Amino acid sequence: MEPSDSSAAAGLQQLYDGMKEARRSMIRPMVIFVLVFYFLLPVLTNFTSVLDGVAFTGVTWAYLYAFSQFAVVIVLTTIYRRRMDAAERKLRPAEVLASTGHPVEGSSGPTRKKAVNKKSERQEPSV
Amino acid sequence: MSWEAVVIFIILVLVTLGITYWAGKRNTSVDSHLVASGHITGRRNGIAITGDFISAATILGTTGAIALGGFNGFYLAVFIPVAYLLAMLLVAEPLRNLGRFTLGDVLATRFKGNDVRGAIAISSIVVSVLYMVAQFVGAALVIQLLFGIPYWIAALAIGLLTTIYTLFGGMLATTYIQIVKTVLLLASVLVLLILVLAQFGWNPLEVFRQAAETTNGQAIAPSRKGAGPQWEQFSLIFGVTLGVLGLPHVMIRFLTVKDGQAARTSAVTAIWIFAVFLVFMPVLAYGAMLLVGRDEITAASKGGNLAMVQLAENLGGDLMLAFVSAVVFATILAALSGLVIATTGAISHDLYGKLIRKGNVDPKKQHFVARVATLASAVVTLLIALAAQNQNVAFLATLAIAVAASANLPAMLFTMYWRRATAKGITWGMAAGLAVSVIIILLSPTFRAGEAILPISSPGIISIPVGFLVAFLVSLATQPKGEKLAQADQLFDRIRIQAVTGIDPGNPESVPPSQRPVAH
Repeated sequence: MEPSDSSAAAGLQQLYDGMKEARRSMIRPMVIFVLVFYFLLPVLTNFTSVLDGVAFTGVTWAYLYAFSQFAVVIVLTTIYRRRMDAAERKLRPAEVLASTGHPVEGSSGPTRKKAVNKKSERQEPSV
Repeated sequence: MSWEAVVIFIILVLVTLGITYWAGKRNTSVDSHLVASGHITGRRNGIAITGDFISAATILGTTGAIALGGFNGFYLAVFIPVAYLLAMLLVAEPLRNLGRFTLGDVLATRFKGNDVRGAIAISSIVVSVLYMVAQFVGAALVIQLLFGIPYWIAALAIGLLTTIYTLFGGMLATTYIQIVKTVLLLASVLVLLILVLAQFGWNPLEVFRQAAETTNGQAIAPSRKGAGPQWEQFSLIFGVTLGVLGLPHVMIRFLTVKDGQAARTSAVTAIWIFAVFLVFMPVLAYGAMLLVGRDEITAASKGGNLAMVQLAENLGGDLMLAFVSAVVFATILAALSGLVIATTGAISHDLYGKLIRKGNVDPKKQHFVARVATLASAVVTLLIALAAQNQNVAFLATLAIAVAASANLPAMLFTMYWRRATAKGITWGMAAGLAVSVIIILLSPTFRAGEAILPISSPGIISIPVGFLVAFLVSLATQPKGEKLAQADQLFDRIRIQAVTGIDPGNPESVPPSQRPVAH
């Protein structure tokens, strides 16, 4: 691994460290939480009767738990995407890409385009 | 078939053929044939992912299972957003940043030998073909039931259209056909939902209340039918949830976008659509149970596969029946097209391009070979489906997804995240995951009714831990030493950087064209 020069290597290392840190702070807790929270549902419904009762008008605790999975997934998805996009915006300016040899068309073109995209994406999170 | 159905079907086929014609003019390289040159936007790819994964079995099977079986049928829907969240967190970005055309590319960035690429290519082909045959036969049976046409005509129509889309339009046509399918699917669910809610005072809870009342609570509570079925269901849920992360046709969709950020956007978009669409499945299913009736549903199809179609006819007459039937047809074509492209990539890129020709292939020749592989995949699947008309092939889908979870997933995760993984560990882990999945199916009630050695037919709960464990232990037993260990460490560091940033630090210019920022 021999980057073209030391500033390119530093730029890439900075990008990598920042992105890695952003991912690391979320991936492990989120994955563990999702696995436990999700697989608890089939464990509880298949092997116990604790979720059999009716919570309100025809909706059992099992259904309530199942519906809550959708809410949890949406919340975690939103948190992860927002934080990663923010980290990327901060760490991946056009100069870093250029210094690492990553092809950039125009000095600020892609960056500006990305910002516009993000704005429009944030406005319509609920497809 | 009513005249409404004829008109809707003609429009649907013309639109999809129009898309194929448009995409065909742009399908000029192997890059465009296999991954649409990485030019699909994140948002569009997310919509296509939904179209790719939601099969006729998801729409029809889930509504039928809830209408007839109650709460337990809802598991067929709940696992999907969860699986895609896990895919986004663990696989989507590293896959986009390391891969080019196939899962084999991801593994080959770290393990250069033929064994690993060969193993993942074979596993990808096995998974995709099994999944395709199961989908194909199920789809042809549904079309046969819907239109009262012979099975072979249904199979031929599906096979012919899928072949045309994929052969000429490649991944680009497949993507836009999947997008059209998702839009149609959401529209049909929305209309059905409005029609159902209109019958229940616009209150979804009223549907639940009446479902509980008429079945004395049976329809809304989880059911437990003894240790065997309970473990079977748990194993099935475990397998399908993790299997999504190893299904080649699902994962290669992340290679059609330009970078990791677009891969995230794809996953987020798909998860939103899945969640919004699937959360209403119980309302439609109980609507069918209450308005059509369980007896009528089982009379039309034993497993309840036509419940949603019957509901459409009950509420919206011939027009709604025709519309929902067309949506089911579009669903079948979109899901199958994605599978054909995944098989094509593993055959033409991994097996032919990398293993047989050692990477020395003229791009034009490779595009030609990709098209031959597309034709072969579609035709072979069609022939198997024609031969398997009277066979019970539902277990093939279970087997496919179990192999994806037990062979492909450990290989992918260990390659991306575990420093100590070795080529031998990955290869043996895949072989063990595949072998154990097949053995469990062969010993299960599916093949040994009455004298089954194992009580479960879904291998996941055993085969997934075995796949991971074998990969782990063999890796530990085959650790490189001295100079080779230093090289392996250095390579892993380099791959981590590429997986996270999309840039290969050893060769920044090597970033594949599909990953470069392009002006649209």
